[in-house]
Amino acid sequence: MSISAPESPVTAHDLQVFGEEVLTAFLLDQDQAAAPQPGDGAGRVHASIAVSGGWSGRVTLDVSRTGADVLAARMLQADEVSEADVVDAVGELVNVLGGNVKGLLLEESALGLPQVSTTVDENHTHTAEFVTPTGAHYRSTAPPPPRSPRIDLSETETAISITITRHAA
Amino acid sequence: MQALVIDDSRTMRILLRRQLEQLGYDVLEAADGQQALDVLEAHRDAPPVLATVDWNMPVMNGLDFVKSVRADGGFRDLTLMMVTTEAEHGQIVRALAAGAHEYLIKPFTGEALVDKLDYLGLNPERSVA
Repeated sequence: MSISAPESPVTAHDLQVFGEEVLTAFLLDQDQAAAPQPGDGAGRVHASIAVSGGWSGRVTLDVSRTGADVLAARMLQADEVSEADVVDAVGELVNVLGGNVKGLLLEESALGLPQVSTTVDENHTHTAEFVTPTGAHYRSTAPPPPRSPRIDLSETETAISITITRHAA
Repeated sequence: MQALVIDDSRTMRILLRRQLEQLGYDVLEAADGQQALDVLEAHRDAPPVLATVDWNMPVMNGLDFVKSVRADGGFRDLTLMMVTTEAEHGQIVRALAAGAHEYLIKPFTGEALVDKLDYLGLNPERSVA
């Protein structure tokens, strides 16, 4: 897990602890018998949530598409997961991370709703899905070529990056 | 016993449904506060005994849902448990003042949920038949 919090009210260590706690609660508490089947998709899943108030910024979680498939499958205890499953599961992860960060702020602040987008390499299926702050869902999908290369699960592919960035007030 | 899970995340609804069903609950679902009010209205004659309520949801948030339910005398026996990432003391006080009975902060373990239900006397596994 890589952590970046240069302009954050919480330390990188705090964020590391939050990330590990969230993953532990969501993943290790689940039935390990479920066998995740990562999909063929390359690319990234990018989720973020806004914090506004005395400190305004955004908590962002970025994970490989294959890693996101595994996370969603583990959270849902499902052998296969849909695009919507992945978007929702990663969105919930960043929602919980954002809540933890907000909980450490000294000044009153508000948490937005998670926004999730997925992207893939130009030769594979491309899907993008967004949830606006008003809750509206937008989705766009382009078809893949006939054969997408299989990607083996590895530690690198499941690596998660958590970042906090500050917004102008 | 019937429970209503209110969360805009389908993932969370599935996780909570699974845990509550393992305890013996029949589970209803709603994706926001307004949907939850509609579900309660449809079950007014036999409402659920427990609702788990997320805070941040589109359309109607969890706090407004709690206030709406408490303003309706028909659901006095419905126990409301906030299940949310909102972890500040002030938020917890606001929710309890609005009429929530318990507060569970995400992420939580299955054991933490069971502890809360035990405390509320709403764990079907420990209910006397």
